[in-house]
Amino acid sequence: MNRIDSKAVLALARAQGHAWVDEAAAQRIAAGATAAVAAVEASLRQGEPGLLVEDSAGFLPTLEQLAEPPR
Amino acid sequence: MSLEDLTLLEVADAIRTRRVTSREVVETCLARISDWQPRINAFAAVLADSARAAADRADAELAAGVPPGPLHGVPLAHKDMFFRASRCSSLGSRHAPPAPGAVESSLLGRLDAAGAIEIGTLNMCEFALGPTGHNAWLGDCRNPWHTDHIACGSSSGGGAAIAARLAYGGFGSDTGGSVRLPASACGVLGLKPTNGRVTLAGMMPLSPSVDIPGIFARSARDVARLLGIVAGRDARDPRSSGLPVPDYEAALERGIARLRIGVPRNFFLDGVAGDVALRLEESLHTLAALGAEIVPVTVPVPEHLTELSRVLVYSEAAAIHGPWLREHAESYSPQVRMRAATGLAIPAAAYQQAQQLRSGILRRFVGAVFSKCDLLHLPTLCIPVPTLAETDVGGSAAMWEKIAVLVRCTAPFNYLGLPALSVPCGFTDNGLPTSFQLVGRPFAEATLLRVANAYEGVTDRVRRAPAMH
Repeated sequence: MNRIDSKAVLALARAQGHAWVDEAAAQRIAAGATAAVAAVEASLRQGEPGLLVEDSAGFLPTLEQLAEPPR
Repeated sequence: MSLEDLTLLEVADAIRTRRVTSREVVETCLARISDWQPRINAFAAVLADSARAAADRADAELAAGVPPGPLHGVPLAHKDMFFRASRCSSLGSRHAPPAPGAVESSLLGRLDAAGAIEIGTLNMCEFALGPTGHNAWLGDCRNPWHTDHIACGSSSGGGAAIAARLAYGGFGSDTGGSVRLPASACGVLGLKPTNGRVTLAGMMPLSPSVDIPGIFARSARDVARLLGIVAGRDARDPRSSGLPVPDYEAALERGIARLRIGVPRNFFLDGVAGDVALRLEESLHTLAALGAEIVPVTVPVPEHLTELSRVLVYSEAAAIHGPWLREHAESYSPQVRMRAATGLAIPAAAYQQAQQLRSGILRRFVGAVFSKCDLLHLPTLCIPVPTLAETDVGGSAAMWEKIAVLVRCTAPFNYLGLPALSVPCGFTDNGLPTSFQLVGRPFAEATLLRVANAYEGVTDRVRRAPAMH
């Protein structure tokens, strides 16, 4: 599992010039990022095996293809 | 009936037929704003002078025989994040980063062309990042039904102002429930359209692949009128859809007999408070009595949808706010600072995967759910509206948990891009409003509004107004 801990967040924040990120902030950010990324990993496991080749630009066309038929 | 209790369509008709002037309507709203604003802080700015001038122009045009638009002379108010070239928007912030110069919101332009009057800009959570309505810079927005309670957010002023009859309708933005939650908390209708149905051009971006403007109003007919005006392709917004815009008002007239309303067996009803569950159950009985068929439905993998949405929202918010946040961190409140910065710690590959997974998950969801029913019925907010004190968690360790409870039933549909409508259905034991939420296939707004309209026809939920204590 892709675990993002507060040390990693602190290092990233420093590297990107966010001097305001302290240990407490880093813990909160790490908790939020870890939960979010875990959902991506869980969704990947539930999907079809193989390469993830879907074009992310296709979301609006997908919505349009699935549109409610005229009533 | 007094002017303030008229719906948007009723007041538009009264102005068009010259039974009342636009100036009288605007003065009624301004007087109410003067009374209510110190209590609920729903407005970021009141545009009294320009609204009066616009009302006088509208009345003069009618007197001169100029054909009126569908919103001629009607006062509206919108979240303070739809840009006009002539002014600065607060964006709910202490010091908003400079927005691109001379940007005009396409949505406001369409409302202007329909004859609407903008009576003010509405309070909101800082940079639209927050579901409670707290705002350290503009002051907290409060619930007009009980001012110890939150109005919810992030379009907090929209729910509070429309419920208190300070304007006849308005627009907010919905990236995780930010229109539906305040609509539910304040007892008005709140529509999150299908992503792509309404233009984003000239609206403050939080997360452009998830953002969508949403509507506050006091009846399904009012929502239908407003949606019909703003929906449709905008050459300035490549994310807007070119699908034809139906006649939403005409579609309301069809009943709901034999419409299949799905009730989720899993996830969405877990942990729902008893008094909220009771109101949901009552609304289902009402809809069944109107001829709808109620069917249980199992919803595929809902537990990941909110977090998938967060991957997109936080990554895109971090991209937008990163440079300003680095230089001006003190301009942000602690919670917003941390939520915006969460995207800095999400790997780029995870962001791209969440984007790539989106179409497949949507296809799976639509196939599994809308083969069994025409729309879903579920809570908007699964708990009674909490107090300001209960939700004033700032950037503390309780932050993620509090947010998760509030957006549990709304954020999944932002990831999926589906249309969702919050409809008031009564009150919980604490005297605050609660609502059911209808979710449909992509671009099924007309079906959602049809159900809400049928429900309104046999209940008095949308006619109730908060009293000033």
